[in-house]
Amino acid sequence: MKIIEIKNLSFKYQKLYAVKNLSLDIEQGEFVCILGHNGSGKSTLAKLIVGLLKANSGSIYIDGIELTEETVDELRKKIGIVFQNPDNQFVGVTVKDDIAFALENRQVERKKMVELIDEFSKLVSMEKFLEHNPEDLSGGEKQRVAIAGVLAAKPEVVIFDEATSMLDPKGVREVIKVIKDLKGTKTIISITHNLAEALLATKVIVMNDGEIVLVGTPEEVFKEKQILKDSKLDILESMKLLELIENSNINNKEKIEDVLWELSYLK
Amino acid sequence: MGIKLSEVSFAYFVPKNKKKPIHFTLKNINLNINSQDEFIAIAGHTGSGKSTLVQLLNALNLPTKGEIEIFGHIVKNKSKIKLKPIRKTVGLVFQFPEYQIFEETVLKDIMFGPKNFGASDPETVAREAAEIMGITDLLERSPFNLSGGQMRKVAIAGILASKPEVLILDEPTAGLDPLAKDEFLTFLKKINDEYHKSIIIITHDMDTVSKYAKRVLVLKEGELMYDGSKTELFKNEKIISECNLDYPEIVKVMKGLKEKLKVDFDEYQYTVEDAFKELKRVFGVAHE
Amino acid sequence: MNSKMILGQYYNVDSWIHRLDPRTKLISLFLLMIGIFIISDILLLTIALGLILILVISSKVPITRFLKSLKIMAALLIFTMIFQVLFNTQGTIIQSYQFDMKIINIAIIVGLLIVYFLLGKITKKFRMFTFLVFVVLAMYLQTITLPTNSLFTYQINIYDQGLESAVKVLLRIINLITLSSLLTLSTKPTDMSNGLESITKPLKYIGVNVSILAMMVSIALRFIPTLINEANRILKAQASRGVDFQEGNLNDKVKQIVSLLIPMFVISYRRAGDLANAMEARGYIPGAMRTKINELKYRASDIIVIVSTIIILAGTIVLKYAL
Repeated sequence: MKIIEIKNLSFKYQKLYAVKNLSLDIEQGEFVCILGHNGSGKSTLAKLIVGLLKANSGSIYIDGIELTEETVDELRKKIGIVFQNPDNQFVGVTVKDDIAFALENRQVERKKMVELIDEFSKLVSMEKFLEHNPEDLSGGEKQRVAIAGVLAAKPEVVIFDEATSMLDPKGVREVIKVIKDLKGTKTIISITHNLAEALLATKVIVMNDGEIVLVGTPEEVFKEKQILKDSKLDILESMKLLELIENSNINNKEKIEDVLWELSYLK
Repeated sequence: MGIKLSEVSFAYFVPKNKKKPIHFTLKNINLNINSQDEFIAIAGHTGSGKSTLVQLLNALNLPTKGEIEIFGHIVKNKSKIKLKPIRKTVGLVFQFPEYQIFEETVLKDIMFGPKNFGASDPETVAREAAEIMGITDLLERSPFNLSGGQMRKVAIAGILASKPEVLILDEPTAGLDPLAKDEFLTFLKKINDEYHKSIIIITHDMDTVSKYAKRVLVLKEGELMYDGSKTELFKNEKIISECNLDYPEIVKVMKGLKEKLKVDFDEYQYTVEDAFKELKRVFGVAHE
Repeated sequence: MNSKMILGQYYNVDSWIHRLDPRTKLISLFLLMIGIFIISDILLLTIALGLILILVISSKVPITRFLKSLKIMAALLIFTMIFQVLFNTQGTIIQSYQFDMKIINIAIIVGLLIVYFLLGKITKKFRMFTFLVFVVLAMYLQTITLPTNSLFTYQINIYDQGLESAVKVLLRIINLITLSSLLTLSTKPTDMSNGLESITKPLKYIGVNVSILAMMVSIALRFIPTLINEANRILKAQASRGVDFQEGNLNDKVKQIVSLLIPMFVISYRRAGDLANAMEARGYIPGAMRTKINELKYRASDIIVIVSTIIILAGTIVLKYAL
């Protein structure tokens, strides 16, 4: 079933359209990756879906209910979002307080909160840090806390809005591991310009200048090198090499191409 | 002339009680940097001391032990010398431009540095720096209304305008999307090639290192584990695994090919074109 | 950077005072402070000090921390005491001093001032001490006979009431400061904020939304260490551009401060926007009912403390008006 339906959505920022007449459906359980350069409208789309921005035209349906000013508080319970900046979404004075934040807002009773904090801090391997202040944590650790906080509220959809862009390689690895483990249990929307993250997805959507220019599986999308280049996205080194091999007369050409495809998934 | 570190150790906090152990962020660093033509990448895990090291090079930090010679100025732990001339000679651009940009227009912001360092004509040098960075068309705009990449260029122009001998950048491409990143680094390379200024960048990205750096320094827990060429670094499996470094993407691809195809070739290629050439050499090309 | 050093004065150790509910501590502090203001007998003030010292010891916080707070008030303390001793003219004269300001004394005073400023550059630690020594020396030299002509003579009288008042002031201030330190050293800032929020809940009946204020305080506490780190980073970034607070005229200095404040504002503004988005997305509605993970619960020890405090306060009122 379709958990998110977006119909002809447009959003204007100052004089320009950040999102132009965009339509998109997301099925429950899918892992969708939205790829796009900075300014392609992907983060704006995320904010529109959770009702932080109001569209100029078009509509969004979440679990069959239209997103309006009246329904936004209810619908926000179904969607969790992890933002890019680890510091700017950490509300609590300690890790425990931050994970509890969404639960406190939903008026979950205290006993239940303690259980949930225990369960989800363990899920992201931060159970030993419950009394720590954010200043003592690395970027990757803060993002894991944010994920725990979002998951504890048991949303049906989790959006990762460039959640790894500000992290060092270790932090990126830690967060991607959590996202990988989540695959299949929730509907996931991962917004990124990192191609390696896109490989985890079941469906990849490429955005450019506020519009969707390509939809498909990762294999289908990565073949469209020209569209990726036009969308100002980099292509994998293995794909660049593949292009050169395809256009040549090298011996063992097919074997080399197969291995290159295989290697693209060993990330 | 250049920068020379002799047995330099640095600790942020030295306890008054001499019996308590001191936690050193950097230990026994010996290093020589030439004032021209170097393009050095500093790599290492988070917390290995990269930013701390770089802040010693322009005397933002003073060494706890040892001595640094910066373009003729000797800096030691309790040095009382004037640090401003050093800051002018060694330009340090921090990771996020938001930490330094504050003026009403881009031009005024670029002029701030030269003014502080006593330039006789700050506006001219500012315009020159803007020209080098390719942002002359942005000079009358507010620096706060620019894209991330543009703001970074303004920040660098602000340091370049004071005509430093050495330019140091702390993770200059963090948060940029891949295309902006490449554009930016190509730019730095141009400054290095055309103006011969030594450039030092701190980076986590091995692709950046392999494509742009000439020399690599690797830090691990405050110690300098490697100081040499990038080609030698990637062939040094011991250092790569000890310091938890990654290989550049293309090298990883080549290693994968080597393993799966069970053919011997030189997997240490740093561009796609070179990788392709090597494969052609090994497999041969079919003749029609 | 150690964030624990930055979050207020809280000293982390386990004592029964640390374990008390913050509301208990706030209420007791308030009541005891009233008591200290009521007492005007030196003996009673000393007994109070003794009791407070017992509390200090049972808090397991090193005395040096308490002394730090007192040091900050030292200047005020000394000034007030001297004021009382010199200008309180009630009661009987205990001691009288004759001073003779001769020309040579003026020269001596000028000389001592110069020496003081020159010495000032060498050591900062003993500044207060050397200043006092010089003052005593200057005054003493006005009492003995020296050459040159006398300009004028004056007399300083010390009254017994003056001395008494000085001691009372000293004791009161020490008691008050030590009590407040007891509160801040044994209570985490967040607990204090929670405690205040709970105590001020009734304010909602006059239209003040305490929960919103409490959220603001909580967020402020969360970000203080972050802001301090960022201020440092901005300072370093601008130092790399030649900002040097030790040089420059007034105009330059203003520019330098602006170069620190504006990035601070810009970063904070952006942060506020991001944080608001994150809070909203996680279901925060300002003023709406929320449950709390950090629940405050009164225990037996809290009730004992509050009741004891009320008894002590009642006792001091009785003592004052019965005597």
